[in-house]
Amino acid sequence: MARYLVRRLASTLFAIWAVATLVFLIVRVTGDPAVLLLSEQYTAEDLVRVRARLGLDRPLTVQYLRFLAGVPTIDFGRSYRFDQPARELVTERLPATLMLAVAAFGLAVVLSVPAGALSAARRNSTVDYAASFLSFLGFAMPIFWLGTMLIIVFGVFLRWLPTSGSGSWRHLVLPAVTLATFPLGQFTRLVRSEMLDALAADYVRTAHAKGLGEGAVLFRHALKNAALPVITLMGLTFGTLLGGAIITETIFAWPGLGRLVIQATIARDYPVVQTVVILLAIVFAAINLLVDLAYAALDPRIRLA
Amino acid sequence: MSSVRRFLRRHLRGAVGGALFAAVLACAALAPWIVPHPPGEQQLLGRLRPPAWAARGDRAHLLGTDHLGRDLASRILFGARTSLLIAGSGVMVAGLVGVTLGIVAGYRGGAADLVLMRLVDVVLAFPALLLAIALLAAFRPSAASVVGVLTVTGWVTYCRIVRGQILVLKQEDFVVAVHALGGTDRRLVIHHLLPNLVPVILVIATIQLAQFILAESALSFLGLGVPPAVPSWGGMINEGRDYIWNAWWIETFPGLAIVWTVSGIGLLGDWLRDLIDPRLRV
Repeated sequence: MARYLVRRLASTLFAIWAVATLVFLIVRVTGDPAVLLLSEQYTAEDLVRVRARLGLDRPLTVQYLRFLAGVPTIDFGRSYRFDQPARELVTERLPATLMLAVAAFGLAVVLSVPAGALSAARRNSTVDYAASFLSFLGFAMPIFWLGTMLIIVFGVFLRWLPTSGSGSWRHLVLPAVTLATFPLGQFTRLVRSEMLDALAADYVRTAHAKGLGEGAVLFRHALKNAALPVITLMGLTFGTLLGGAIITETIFAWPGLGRLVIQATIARDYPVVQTVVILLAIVFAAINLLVDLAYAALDPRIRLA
Repeated sequence: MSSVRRFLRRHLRGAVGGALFAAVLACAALAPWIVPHPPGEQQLLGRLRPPAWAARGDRAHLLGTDHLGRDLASRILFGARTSLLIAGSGVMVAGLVGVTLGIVAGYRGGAADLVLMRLVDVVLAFPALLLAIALLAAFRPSAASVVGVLTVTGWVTYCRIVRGQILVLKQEDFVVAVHALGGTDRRLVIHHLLPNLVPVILVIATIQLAQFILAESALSFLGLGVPPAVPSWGGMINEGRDYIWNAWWIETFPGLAIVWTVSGIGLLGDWLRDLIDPRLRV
């Protein structure tokens, strides 16, 4: 287990380093960030002054090492647009994004497990077909369009729910449903296929033979054995949800990281883009690591391999 | 189950998906000849017209007009070109890069394999959208930059799967036979390994085309895709956002076009995968 842990940890750190280096290179290769900060008519002195302020006058290796030194603390300087450290801007908005992602994730988990289990137990029934049709729609619908349609139906025509901003649980409903749809379909499909495998196993026949009720067989015996791959996918999806949150936040004017990073991208506010990308990369890598370790702890075949 | 029902069950998705996709291809190919209005033509007096069947609808504009009085149906038809062209180019470039590197990794092995697989892990370790945003922060929005980020995020799927297939194929007798007969590596790869990979590559490419159409529309929606002057489904939905309170059609129809297209290609991809290798994870 110790060797496995060290190996996984090393590859996680490598991945974070690689993304950080990629981000550093892209910004330097595609033009001088100092020019972007200046107005159309700038003098040579202006350029020198701004470059010195941003540290762009140092040798590339020094810049790179300073950049890498910022990775552990996610400190990449002040925002170009706002007179504030980029890290402050980002951490202010992180809770809103996490709240949205957790709500959507919870919704997807709570709905997909019974839906997938029932689809498997009643294979080729109307319930099964309905569930797989809805899962497929969840895949084919762009998340930003789904969000907009929900706004039109529930905000514009029915006027049941607020369509933008945050503050109450009512504000959370439409964004959370929007963000939950894609993972909901994914989870349902996986729960269904894992349950089908589990239901075909001998121990399920034994459980039936000794007279257990269908509910007990389905949820106590089969579901437990189907859980491992499902938990893995769910864990990995949480990181992807953070990516989807970027789009969802844009539609619903949700005051999180997503809107910040999109606006920063369009304005080329590199410190903010770097901070968000590196922060989410670290969060994502940490979740992947935890999922893998949990899996290894639960399944001896993996840590011994 | 009768054989007719089994046949239908096996191929229905392929038929439906193929029909949906063929319709989109036809629209994209014929767009300049079948559109009722040029896609950029503005009629400021006919702004925000609802679809033809609605109360204030105009029979000249089947699906209504947008905030500049441009014909929605015409823009959607031209949007099919943008979508297919960008997503299609992305699939081709990503496929070319990914398959080549996958063959190198699987066939050569050693250091090249190690480096390439590390690289694959890195790309797979992060949400594609996040990577795309980080890249697009540095490039001006254009069709080429979108194809570029799709390639960067998309080549890994081919590389990973092709490498795995090559490792299996290398054990086959025909590989030994080619070597024994004096065939070069180049001959072996091009004439013997590549043909065996075609079905799998086709499955990946189909499923990825659906994913790339979604990705392109999302980037255009966020304002990071093609410039606003080019009609694109995601861009149209973005532009219509300011008018959702009085013009629902601007948002609705381009989205339906996306769902139609992605459903068609998705069904086609699922069908192909089940025919070729149901356990393939793309």
